[in-house]
Order: sequence, then C-alpha cells, then structure tokens
Amino acid sequence: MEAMTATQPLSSNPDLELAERHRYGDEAAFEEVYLRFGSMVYNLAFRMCGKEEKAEDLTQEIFLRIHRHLERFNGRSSLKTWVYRVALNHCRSKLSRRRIFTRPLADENAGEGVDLVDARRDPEQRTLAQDTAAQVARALRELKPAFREAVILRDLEGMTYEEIAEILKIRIGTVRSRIARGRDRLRTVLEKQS
Amino acid sequence: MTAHVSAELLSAYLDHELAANEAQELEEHLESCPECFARLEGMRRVVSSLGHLERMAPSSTLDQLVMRRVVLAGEQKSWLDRLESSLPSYQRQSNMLALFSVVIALALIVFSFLYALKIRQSGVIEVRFDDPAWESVSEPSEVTHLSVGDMAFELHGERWIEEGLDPAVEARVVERGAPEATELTKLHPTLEPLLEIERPTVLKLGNEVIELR
Repeated sequence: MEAMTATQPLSSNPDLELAERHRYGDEAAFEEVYLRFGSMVYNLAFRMCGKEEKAEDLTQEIFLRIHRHLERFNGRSSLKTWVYRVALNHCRSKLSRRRIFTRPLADENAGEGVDLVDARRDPEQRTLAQDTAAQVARALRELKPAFREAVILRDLEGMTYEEIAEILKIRIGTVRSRIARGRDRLRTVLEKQS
Repeated sequence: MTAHVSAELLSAYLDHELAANEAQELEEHLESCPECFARLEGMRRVVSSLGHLERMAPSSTLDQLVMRRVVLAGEQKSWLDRLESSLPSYQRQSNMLALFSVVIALALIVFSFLYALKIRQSGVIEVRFDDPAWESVSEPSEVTHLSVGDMAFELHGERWIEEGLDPAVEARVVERGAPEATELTKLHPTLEPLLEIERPTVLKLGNEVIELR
C-alpha cells in the first residue's frame, strides 16, 4: 500500500500539486500560478489603490510573496482563495501605511478604469452609463477599507459570501453586513451626485 | 412587516441570499413601501454599475517584470548563501549573531517609533486583539473599529457592537467578573480578550445576543 502511494502523482488536488511542484523547484509551476491569477491580482490591487502604476508595483510585490510562500500552501482552501488572501493582506499593509504616513488614498486625477463594453447602447446612453460607472469607481475608493474589500470581492470579483468569509477571516454575518453597508453608502453617494 | 427594511436585507435579497419565506415577506413589503423599493432599486443600480466596470489590463511588460523580480530575489538569496558558506563556520556564526542582534534592535526602534506615531494619528487604526501582545495596550480614544479573532465590532456611543447587529437590539447582560462570563470563555475561548476591554460589548452567541459589562 505504501509503495503504491509513493508511485502515485504528487497530489490528487491540482492546486496542491502546483504548490508541490513549486516546492521541488519546478519554475513552470509558479508561471502557471501567475497565468491563472495575474490579471485577477492586478485588478484587485487597482481597485484597492486606484492607480495603475501603483497597482503594477503591488502586483509585483504580491507575486514575490506568492513565490516565497507557495510551498506553504496546504490545500485547506482553494489556491484562488489563498492568492486573494495574500494579495489583500499585502494591499492592506502597504496602503494603510501610505494612508497614515503620506497621503489619503483618494486621488481625483487617477484613472477610473471605466469602460462600459455594451456596444448596443446608443452613444447618449453609453455616456450616461460611463459617467455613472466613473462616479461609482470614485465613490468605491472613498469607502472604508473594510466595506471596499467586501464590495470588490462580491460585485467585481463575483465571489460567494462563503469565499469572502474565508478570505477575510470573518463570519458570514459580517460579510453580509459589510457588503450591504458598502453598497448602501455607494447608493447614497450616487444619489447625492445626481 | 411595517417598518422600513434594513440595507442588509435588501442587499441579501439582491444576492438571492434570503430564504424563500423571507424573500416573499420582503416582496410583499416592497409592494406597499415606495421608499424601500427606491432604496432597493438604488442598490441594484450600484451593483449593476460595479458589474460593468472594466477589467483592467496590466501593461504588457508586467509579466516580465514579475518574472525578473522573482529571478532576482532568487539570485540575491543564492548570493547570500554563497557568501555565508565561504566564511569559516565560527566567523559565520558570530557574524550571523551580530547581524541578528542589529536587525532586532533596529526593528524594536522602528516599531516603537511607528507605534507612537500611529497612536497620535489613530483615526484610521484598526485594533486587533488576536495577537496576545495587544491585550495590554489600552484602547486609544479615537479608535472606532475592533477585531477579535473573526469577530468585528464598531463603536456606537460607549459600546462595542458586533458588526451586523442593530445597536438597539435587546441583549442579556453578563457581568465580566461574574462566574457566567468565565464559563462562557471556556465554551468560546475566542471571547477571552473581550473580558479585558473596559467598554460594554454586545455580540451574538448562537441565537442569543449578550452584552458583556
């Protein structure tokens, strides 16, 4: 039985197998992780900091951390959840330091990352929708970080309440409350602006 | 359902997170309450706008930058390894010890400085009691959020209220010094740090809401 186990593949869990390949020095494993999650991490960083250049710096730092710690991934959560947790923790640590010691996160001149892709809308509708999306993107950056994280994970990344609870290490009830309060705050800001 | 419904209920409804009977009750209320209906529609617009935000594409060089940084970090590590292995072992040990002491001393100085600065500007600080080292730290008066393990609290007046709870909710009072409080911490060890806080703290335990005083 033991002999059989020894000849089996590294793991039947593909996420864990990736981590094990990385542990044994297979650089292709890390590249695979980057291919799977690079865009996701970049978008998360962008929505957390609001600046493209800073988001690229954060993405590089996050993947450096992932490269260092991937061998510790134990498969208790999915790799996606683990990567999100590493990314969010890094953003929190970097951005809270900036907020305390340098300047507020908000930057009125920053790009909003807004482009409504529905080409079927007429030009006027598209402009209106783009304006709303630009306002919502600006308001998102002004939310308290705890609410912003929850709203980004739910409404931009499409994660379930359970996944968000696992990433943020909080109860489902708290996830529900943070999403609701974040959305309601955004609603109030948008209604005031219109 | 006569009073207006909470944002939490409306938001959960949008996510199809309500039980069938809750959803039906809410829909009946919405039919007769234009304010709640407008609030729901406002929230729906927010969700829709967020859903339409473009996925950003990083610059074409980011892949290379990430890979180069990873390789550089690996080379740096192996350069240090080589340097270390080129030293005689006694020198290596004393060098490592000296380096370690300097790093610890510097870390302590920087930490003390940053912490003092953080307390002074503390409107944005989140206090976490999950690390036992924090337990002896008194609460700065401007702090409005508190995390204890997986529980999160907000300051309402003089009381810490667990996030998601209505501040007006009726709660059974448990004195912090009472034997019941000790019993509760045996059942729920994560509550232990809450006994060290001075302010009344309201939280949900199972189906019951209690207030630690």
